[in-house]
Amino acid sequence: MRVKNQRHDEHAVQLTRRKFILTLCEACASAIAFSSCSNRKRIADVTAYRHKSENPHSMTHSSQPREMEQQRIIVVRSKRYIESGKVKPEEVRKMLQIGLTELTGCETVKAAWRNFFEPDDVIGIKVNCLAGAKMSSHTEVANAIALELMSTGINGKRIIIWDRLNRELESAGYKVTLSSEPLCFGTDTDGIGYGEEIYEAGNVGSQLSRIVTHVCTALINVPVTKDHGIVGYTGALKNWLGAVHNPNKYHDNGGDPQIAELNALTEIRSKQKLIICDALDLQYHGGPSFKPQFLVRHGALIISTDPVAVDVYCWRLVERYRKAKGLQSLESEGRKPKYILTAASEPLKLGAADQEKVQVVEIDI
Amino acid sequence: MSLMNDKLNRRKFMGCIACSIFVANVQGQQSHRGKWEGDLKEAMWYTKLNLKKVRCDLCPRKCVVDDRERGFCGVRENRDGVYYTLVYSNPCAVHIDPIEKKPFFHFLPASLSFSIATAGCNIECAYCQNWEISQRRPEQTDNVYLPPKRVVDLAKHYECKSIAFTYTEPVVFYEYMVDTAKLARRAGIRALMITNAFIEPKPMREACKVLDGVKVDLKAFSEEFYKKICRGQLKPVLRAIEVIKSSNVWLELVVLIVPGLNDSPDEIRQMCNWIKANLGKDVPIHFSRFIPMYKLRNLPPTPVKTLERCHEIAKEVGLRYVYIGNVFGHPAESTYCPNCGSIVIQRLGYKTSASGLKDGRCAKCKFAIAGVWA
Repeated sequence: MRVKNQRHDEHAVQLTRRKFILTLCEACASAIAFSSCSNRKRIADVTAYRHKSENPHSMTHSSQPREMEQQRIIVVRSKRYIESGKVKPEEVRKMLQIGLTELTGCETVKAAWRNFFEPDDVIGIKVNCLAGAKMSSHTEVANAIALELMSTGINGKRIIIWDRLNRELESAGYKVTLSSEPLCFGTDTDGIGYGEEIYEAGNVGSQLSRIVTHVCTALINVPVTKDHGIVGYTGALKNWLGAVHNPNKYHDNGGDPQIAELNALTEIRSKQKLIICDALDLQYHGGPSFKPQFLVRHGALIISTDPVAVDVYCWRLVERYRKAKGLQSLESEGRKPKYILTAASEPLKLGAADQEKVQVVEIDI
Repeated sequence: MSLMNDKLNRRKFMGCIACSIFVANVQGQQSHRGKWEGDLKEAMWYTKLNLKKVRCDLCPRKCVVDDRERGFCGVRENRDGVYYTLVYSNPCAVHIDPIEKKPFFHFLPASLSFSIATAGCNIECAYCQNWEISQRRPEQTDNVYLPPKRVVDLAKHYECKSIAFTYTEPVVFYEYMVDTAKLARRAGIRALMITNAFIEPKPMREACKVLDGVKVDLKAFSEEFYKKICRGQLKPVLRAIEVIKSSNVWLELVVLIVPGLNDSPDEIRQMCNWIKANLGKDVPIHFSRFIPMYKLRNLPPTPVKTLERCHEIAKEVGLRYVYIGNVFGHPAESTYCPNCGSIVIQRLGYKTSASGLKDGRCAKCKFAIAGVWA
C-alpha cells in the first residue's frame, strides 16, 4: 500500500503491486491493439486514443459528420422468431441477414458485413445483461452476429461478446469463455478491468473498460428495448453505461447530459460501427429489471449505424405500448429521456432525433 | 514499516517518515477482489416503493433506486426490492495515523487513530485526493474482511485511542461505522467521523449518539461550487453541521481552498460569520492547501498567501482557533492561547508537543482551551 505523505487530504491509494500487474496487462493489451492496426482507420483510432492519454482531462468529440447511410433504420420483424418459448437461432440469423443487406444495399450478406468490418478487426459485441435471462440481449442474437462475422472470414477469437460483469453475463445465459469462439467475458475478468485514464462525461469522471480502449478496434452495440425508472428509456445510448466503472453516477437529472456525452467520447463514437437493437422482447414499464407483466413479444431487430435514431424509434415504440396499455407517457411521468435529444443536438450531434429525417424501412418476414 | 508481528511503539512510529501505516494484511488477512461483499447487510434509512423500487433516505440526494441498480454512492444495491449495503465489514483502506492527519487538532493530540474506509462516496469532488477508492465500487477496490469487533480489537492492539472513519465518505458505510463505534465505546476507544456532512439530519443525529468527534470538510460557501465542482449541495451540509454541533460531539471544520473557485474574501468572510453565529467561535477551522488531483489538474496549488488571507479573515471575524493546513512548518499549524497568545500545542508536520497545555488550559495564563484533551 502506497500512502501519499500529504496531510489533511488523507490520501490513501491501492496496492502498488496491483497497479504494477495492471500496467503489465495494459502494455500487453496495447501491443495486441497496435499489432492489429494495419489500415488507416485503425491507426486513426489509436492515435485518437493516445492523444486522449496525453490529455485525459478534457473530453474529445469526433467532429466527423454523419454519413447519409447512418440515418436509416431497418426494422426486421418476424412472427416466427419464437417457438414454445424458445427463440429460434436460425430465424434470428435470417432477420439479421435481411437487415444488413437492406441497410447497406449490398447484394450479398458477406459484402454487407465487410462494409463495416475487416478481418483484422477485434470486434466487441456489447450486450446488456442487467435484467437476467428474461430481459437481456438474447444469446441467440449475439451468437447470430458472431456467426455472421465468422462467416465473413473473421477469426472467432477476434470476436468478443461482453458486458461489465461475468456474473451478469452468466445470469443472462451466456457462457463465459476465453477459449471457445467467439470469446465471451466481462470487464471484471482478471487482466481486463478499467483503464487508468479519467474521461469526463458531463461532470462525471469515468474510467472506461479496457475492452473498449485497448482490446477492440470495432464495436457492435446490442442493447435491449426497455423502460427505465430513472432515465425513462434505456437502449443504444444508455448501453454504454456498461463500459464505465461508475454507472451509478450517471442517473442525476435523468442522465442528461451525461449519457449523451459518454457516447460522444472518441473511444466509443469512433469504434461503434453498428447498432443491432434486440427488440425481440420489449418491456414498456417497470424497467430496468425484468417485470414479466410488462413484457411484450415484439419480434423485431432494429439495425442502424445511428444510435440516436434507433433510440428515438424505440422510445416511441415503448410509448405506443404504454398508451395501448393505458399507462401515462414517460413525459407525463416526469421521465422523458431527454438525454436522447441532447445527443442529437449541438454540439454533440450524435445522430438524428427527427424521425422525419430518418428513413425507416420496416420489413416483415 | 510492518505491523505484522510487533506491537506498535509510538517512538518507532513517530520516527517513521511515512505519515500512516497500512495494516490491511494484519495477522494473515489477505486483501481480496471478487469476494467483495463483506457481510451483506440490509441498509438503514430507506423506504420501499412500488415496483420493487426503493428510495434511500440516508443522504440528501434521496436516490430512487430500481431493482438491481445502485444508488449514486455505488455501494448500496437494490436486490428484489430490499436495499443492501455492500461494504459492511469490507474496508479497502486500513491505516494507523496520527490524529493530526485527520486533522483533529483539539482532540487527544499526539495520539494514534485506527483509520478505515470502504469504497464509495455520495458526492464527486473534482479534486478528490482519494478518488481511486472514493469513486469506485467495492468490487473495484482491494478489500479486507474486517468486522466491527475485529476493528476494535486491532485498534486496542495497536494502542490507538480512537477509530476514525475516513478517507472516502463514512456516510456511505453508515451501518459499519455505527456498529463499530458502538463497540469502540464499550472498549473505551473514541470514534471519529471525517465527513462531507452530506447527510440527512435524522441519520446524522443518530450517528452522533455513538460518535465522539466529527470533522467536516466544508467544501465552500456557495451552492454553485457544491453543484459544479462537487455534485452536492451546500444547504443540507450546513443543516447537518448544526445537528452535529447541537449533539455535543467535538466538531472541527476543514476548508480546502481551491484557487479561483472558493477563495474569494467575501465568501470566506460569509462562511466565517456563519460559523461564528451558528457554531460558536471555539470551533476550529483549518484552511487547507489544494494540490492538483483527479479531474482538477489544470490549477496550481493554492498560494500560501491565499491561505494566510483566509486565516486573517477568520481571525478578524472572531474565530479563536484558525489553522493553515498542507503547508509544512507554517506557524499557523500550532495552537495559540486566545487569551495570552502563547503556544499551547506546537506542531511541525506530525510532530506534536502539547507542553503548553495543562489539564486543558493554557499553561501560562490558565485560559480554558476548547477541545477533548483526555
